Amino acid sequence: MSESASTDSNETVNGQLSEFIDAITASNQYEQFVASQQRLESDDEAQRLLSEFQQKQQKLQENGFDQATMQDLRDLQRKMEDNETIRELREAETALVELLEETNEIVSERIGQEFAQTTGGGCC
Amino acid sequence: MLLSTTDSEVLTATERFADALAETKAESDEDEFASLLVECNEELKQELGVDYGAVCSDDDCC
Repeated sequence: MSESASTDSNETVNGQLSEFIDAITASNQYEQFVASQQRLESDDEAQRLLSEFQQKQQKLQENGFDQATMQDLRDLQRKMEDNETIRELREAETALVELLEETNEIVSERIGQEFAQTTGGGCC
Repeated sequence: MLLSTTDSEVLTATERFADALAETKAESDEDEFASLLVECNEELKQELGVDYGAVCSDDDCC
């Protein structure tokens, strides 16, 4: 294959990638996700609950099973479920992930291999 | 008024992107194409603010 053909091909991919990204960012799911994150930033209580939950989870991972910490986590989960900001954030995240997973299925099937690549650092 | 894109528009853009990738794959060697996929994932991560690869990959790390 000639170099110019390779360049043209990559330019086509870049162009279509940009349109793909634009379509996602203009989607209802993405807009709701961004909006829910912005609501979280202005909700101190929701942030406190999430922060405390993450700290308890980390404590559990570091120190092993601990009944008291498990109970704290359960209590926090209940409070988080009652928090509208967190509930909406989770719903928005789920909807966006579903959309992104669907796009990955389409691309992966078309190219005959997995498109989504972890780029290091893990997802957690 | 600017309307949000519908799912079908996202899927249409996805298919066009997928077709472009498939065409490039046919013209590239394995390593070149693998690098291209990583670049595309990085671009998605940067523009979306979401780690597309981590969210969608088969690696069940969570």
